[in-house]
Amino acid sequence: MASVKSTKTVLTILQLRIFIALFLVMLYFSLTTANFLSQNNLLIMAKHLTVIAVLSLGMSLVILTGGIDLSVGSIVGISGMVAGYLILYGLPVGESIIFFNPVEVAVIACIVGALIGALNGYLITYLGVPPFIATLGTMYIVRGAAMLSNNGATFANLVGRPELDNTGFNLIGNGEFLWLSTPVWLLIILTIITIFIVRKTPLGRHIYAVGGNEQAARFSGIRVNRVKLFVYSFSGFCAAVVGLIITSQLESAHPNAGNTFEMNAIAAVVLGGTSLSGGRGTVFGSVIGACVICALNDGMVMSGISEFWQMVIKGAVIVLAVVVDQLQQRLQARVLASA
Amino acid sequence: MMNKLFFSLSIAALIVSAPASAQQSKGTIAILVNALDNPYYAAEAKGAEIRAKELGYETITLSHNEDVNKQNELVNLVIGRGVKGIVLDNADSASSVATVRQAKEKGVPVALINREIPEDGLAIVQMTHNNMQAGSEVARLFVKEIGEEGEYVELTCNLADKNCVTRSEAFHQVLDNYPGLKMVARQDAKGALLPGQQAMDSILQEHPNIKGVICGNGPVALGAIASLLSANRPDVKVVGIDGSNDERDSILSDKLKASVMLQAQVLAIHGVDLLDKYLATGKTDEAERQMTRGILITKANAGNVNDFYYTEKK
Amino acid sequence: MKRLGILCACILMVPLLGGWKIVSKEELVKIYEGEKLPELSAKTYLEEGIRPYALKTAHPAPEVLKAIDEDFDKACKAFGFRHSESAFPCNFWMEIKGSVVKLDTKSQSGRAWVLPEGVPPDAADEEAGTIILLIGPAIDSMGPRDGYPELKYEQFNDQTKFGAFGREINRLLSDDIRARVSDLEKGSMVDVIGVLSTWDKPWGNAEVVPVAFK
Repeated sequence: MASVKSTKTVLTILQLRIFIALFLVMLYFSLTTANFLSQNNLLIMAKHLTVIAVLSLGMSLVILTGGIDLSVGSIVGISGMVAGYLILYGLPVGESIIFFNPVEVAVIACIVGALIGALNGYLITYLGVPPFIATLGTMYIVRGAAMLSNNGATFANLVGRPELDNTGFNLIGNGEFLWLSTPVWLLIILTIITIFIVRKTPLGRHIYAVGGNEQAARFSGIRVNRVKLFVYSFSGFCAAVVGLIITSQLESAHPNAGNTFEMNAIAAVVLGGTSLSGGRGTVFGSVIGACVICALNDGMVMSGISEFWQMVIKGAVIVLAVVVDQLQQRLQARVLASA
Repeated sequence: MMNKLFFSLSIAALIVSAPASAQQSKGTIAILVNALDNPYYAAEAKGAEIRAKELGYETITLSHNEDVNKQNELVNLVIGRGVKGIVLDNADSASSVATVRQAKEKGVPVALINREIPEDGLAIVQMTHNNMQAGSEVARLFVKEIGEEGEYVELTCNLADKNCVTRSEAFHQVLDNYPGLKMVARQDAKGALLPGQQAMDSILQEHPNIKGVICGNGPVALGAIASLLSANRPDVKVVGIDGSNDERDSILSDKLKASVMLQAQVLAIHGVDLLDKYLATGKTDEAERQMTRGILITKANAGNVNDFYYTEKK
Repeated sequence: MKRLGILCACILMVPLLGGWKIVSKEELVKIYEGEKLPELSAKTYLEEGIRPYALKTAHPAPEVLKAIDEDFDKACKAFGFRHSESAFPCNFWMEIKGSVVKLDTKSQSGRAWVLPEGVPPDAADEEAGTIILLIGPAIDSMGPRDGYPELKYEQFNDQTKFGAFGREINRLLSDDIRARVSDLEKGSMVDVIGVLSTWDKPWGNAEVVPVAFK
């Protein structure tokens, strides 16, 4: 049947659209801008990618359960401030002050991020606050806390001092290992872990189930609240990692770091084919979505497109992605019906 | 799965077969400032662009919007693009140190304009306005205008910007010497026209007997004037700092009493000149930190101001 | 879920593993002390630097003012000092010997109009030909700080601190001047060394900050 076959071809193309999009974007900029595909530039873009992509890992899981997390940008900010404070001033305990080494500082910052995420999860599950509202509120509270922590000022010069045994913090953002910088390695490792959780563990199946039909999931014995608590904590953890990367690269903690990052993360997840109502999508798709946004951003900057146009183009791309997604859904339903 | 593999491979093939970079002219200079919709930063960018083109460079103008992370990313991107030098009006001095250092390590000289960083030896030059002098001069004129007794209001520009803090300190180092002058309100008007106007509206309700308003930058001063005019209070004297064309016009029509023109174009042009010299000879032969005076503008000399450039008309 | 719980517990344990450095509050202060720029003393600079320099380099006021009148830039090179043409005004050290013709001690920016020796008084305008001494308590000119070559902006690298230092010098000067000015009145004779700080030829009478009294 010719029409079914052509529909199936169209469907395949639509399913692979994020890869096609990435290919087209890279092609366009490589032809119009000098140096776009140079090794140097690709490594730089990879570094920029980590910020959006790591956030999109956590955001994917949250959106897969049908929720949303608007507070990740603020968590990026506060995790940097926590790390900055610990490196500069340590933890006062009684009469003395404890200075943690950089690894421990990083772990503590991640714990803080996860705890804030857990707070989000608690508000959403046990207190029944809708995710949009809960994370919107947390977004403001956490940003305010980051500003208050040093009265709006930054913690500067976070290189640590040898006398305090806390040097080496900047390796998180700037270290290099086998040609790739540390943040890129962190992204690769975290992506593998996230995909593993989602594909190979019962928790992963539960995430999809909760997103697909929460009532049915609850009736089939899945601990929905625990699943949600996990995804929001994980999202907070990812945000904390991004905060550490940025703080380490800049060697200073800025309380406004991460402002509006949640938008890019959500856009990456949506572009990658995840539905905002939950239950459908892939983590790898989100990462590719982040690649597209990053390539688009950096490409537009490098080819000198005015930044006001950059905003328009970015918005158009996102809307287009959702429209195509709807198209894919309808075609899929039609193919299934005629099978 | 096979399809995904196919596409991943084709992207990889594209990367491997990337064309060699095109030949450059004298090179490109990147100009990185704050928001381009503020006339001050637009003037800086324009001054630098024109000068760089005169010297034979191509230019690329970007804005970081006070976001240090974006600034870091943009600097990395333009270095990757192969620019020869960067003129930077940085966002938040302390957080910009690492970014400038990275540029230096990659062999791209950076000329800092308008705002300094707390470390020496990283940028080839750090050019700032003498905000202290600007603030003091306008404050002294403010005292002459409103007298040594009375109530006044201070509307600052965005206090997250160190320059704004310096200007406010300069005001107080002059005004606090006059115990007869009482500051009845101080508000951070975010350096923009609308917040300035709204702040003035509220404060005027609360304190109708004020004699003057001293503002941290131009847009705030213009906002305050708009508010005072709509409340029919032309007797309240307003001064500011910046010296944009809008302020000049306001001074010429007797609305704004005085301003201090910051020589944005002079800074930008000198920054480009020093980059050119550094690229040609490997050094600048000048001190790293340079201050440039602001020029007090009153009705008498307002006609000499245009686009943050002061030309003495003989 | 249980495995996850165990993983989380392990992660929470990491910060407690040790590899800490414990210092006391005093030690921390000492570690950070070493990095600050040394604090400069306004008093030392005024007494051991600025005043001796002023006494050494001052020229008679009428001579300096005449040179400024003829050609400002030449006069600055001959009689004045400026750190840089783009950022600082030119500072002229001069000696003023004359009699007080007008006094204003009510205003915060107190002034004394001094008619230099050898200049004939103008019956129509008592201020004509006079030099104005800024006697405070609010002294707004930064001449004393900017007129001394050994005090540079690079020693502060912070505009606010630089401004505050200038203010401190002026405050010390103002205290000093107040002590001497209390018995000044119309007709008193004065002999002071002071500094005129200006970007260009002054429009009205020259305004000088007195730094040393003879």
